[in-house]
Amino acid sequence: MSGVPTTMMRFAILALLFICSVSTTRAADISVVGSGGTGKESISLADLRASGDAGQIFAHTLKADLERSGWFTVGTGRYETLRVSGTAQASADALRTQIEVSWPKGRFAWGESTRTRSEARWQAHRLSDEIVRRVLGKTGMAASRIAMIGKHDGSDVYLCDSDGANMVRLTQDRVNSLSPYWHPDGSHIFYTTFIRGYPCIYRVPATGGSRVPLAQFAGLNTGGAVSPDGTWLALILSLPGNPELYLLNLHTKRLTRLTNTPRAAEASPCWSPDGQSIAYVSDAGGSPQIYIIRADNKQPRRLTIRGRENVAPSWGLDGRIVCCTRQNGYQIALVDPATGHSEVITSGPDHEDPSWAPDGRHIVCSRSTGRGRSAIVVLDTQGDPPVTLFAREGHWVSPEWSSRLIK
Amino acid sequence: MRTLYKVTTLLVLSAIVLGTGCSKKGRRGGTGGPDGYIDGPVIPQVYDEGGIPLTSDPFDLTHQRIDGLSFSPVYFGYDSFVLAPEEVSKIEQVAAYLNENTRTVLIVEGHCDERGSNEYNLSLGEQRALSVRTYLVNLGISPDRVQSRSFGEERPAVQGTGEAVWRLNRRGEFALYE
Repeated sequence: MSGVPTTMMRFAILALLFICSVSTTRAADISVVGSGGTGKESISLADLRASGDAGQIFAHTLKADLERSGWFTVGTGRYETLRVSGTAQASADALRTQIEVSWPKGRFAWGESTRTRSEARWQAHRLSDEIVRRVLGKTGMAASRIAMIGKHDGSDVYLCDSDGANMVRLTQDRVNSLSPYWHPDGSHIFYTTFIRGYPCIYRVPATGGSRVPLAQFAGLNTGGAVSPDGTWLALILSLPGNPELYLLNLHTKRLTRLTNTPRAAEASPCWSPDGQSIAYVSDAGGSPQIYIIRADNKQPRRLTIRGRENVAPSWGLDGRIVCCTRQNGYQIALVDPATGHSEVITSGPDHEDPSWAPDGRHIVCSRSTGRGRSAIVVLDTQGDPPVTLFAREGHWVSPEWSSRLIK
Repeated sequence: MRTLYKVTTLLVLSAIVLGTGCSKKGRRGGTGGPDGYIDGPVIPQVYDEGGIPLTSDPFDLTHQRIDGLSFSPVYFGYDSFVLAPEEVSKIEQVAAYLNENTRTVLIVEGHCDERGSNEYNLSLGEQRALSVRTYLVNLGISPDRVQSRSFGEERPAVQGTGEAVWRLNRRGEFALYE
């Protein structure tokens, strides 16, 4: 009689104190509450009423997006101060959402009405990114797509959503294809194809349709990375007798040569987020390494200082470069563009072809799974474990993440 | 606005006129590509070592493949397009055939093993093909009879992994046409 009520009293006092500390938490301390590890914010979806198939799809996709963003864990709804409430109502051929997101420091209303059920996932992607932006001031990655090469029936370009859903086969060339790159507005894919028997760069609408040749000079035409403002294509041509880096103006079709290395080959150009510089691979130093060149002064400087090979660079929104480095097989490494200092972030079987997500935090790459197969994997630069996007039959390589898309 | 329109039109016309002039000197290849011209450092011709520009379409569009005729591939060391002394006799055999069969033309196809990125291997394969081409030209074969083509790591001769497989995939192959 004497022990239990005292324990219960203690517990009640503790609970009361806990609840009080929760309700006075400021936005900056919002991560105090929650069960997620490593500083994730806890968010509640318990007050979101979803009806119909499309409504359910919306709710499930939103939950998955918030967790996949890396910033949130979706809690039970009892203690979270970051809350999503409202309705997602499906009718015959539409989904209407009326949502309010609230947290101690603020709130916002959000709602969309889309005509087709298939838009339910993308409504959720857009809301997830908006929550990341408004609550945390960061860029999300849910409303985006990934292009890649699938090698199991010839090799062709495939597209899927950021969560691996809605996979479509974009090209039907059934010859060798390589190096898909997105136009920054998401409207087109630029890629290298052997449709003419030798490597040429074509452009194809992301919704499907006719492909248009952009570079079919004698010899090698590859690369094909579009600048952030959509004006330039960085590409590799062997027009002068060996593979060199060029720029093609997509409006005027004028070529500008950037490198002059008669005994060395260049490859894999990618643009800096400010569109002023290009990171690329050159073996001018005897082995393939990452170099940076400014488009306006054509002065190359070597970036990677360690490692037998550094290839396949990708330049993220926050200025970090990721590449594939040869160290215990092929691994993914982050490279500081100022110092060249690199840090390997993978271990295990070969990881290749990294590409930054538009959130500047995640990276998509391919990973060998043995027996001539590769899977597409998303890595996190803040310590969450890798997530396999899909691991289907065949060889899936060269993933390339789009910018955030307004779809 | 009218003045801007006039100035813009003038600039565009000038660019076209100048561009056409430059492209006659700098652009090579009758492959029907975009009407670009080469700016920047002067590029006297397409293949600076061969000295004669490539003007024809790819041979597999203009000629017939000669089946039943095969020459040994030239093999390369890892990450290299250098021709080893023991490999050049294969190139000399091809040169001899081309000298006897003057209507025959050749595409040298450069390949890589699976290691390294697909993109870099496309460039390395091109270097290997060009390396063999340069050797043939130096043996006296006319440059307009030899084209280069890279397949990177996309068409291995042997599937699998390990050095025993890789060294068979690091190769230059001879595809003859007439």
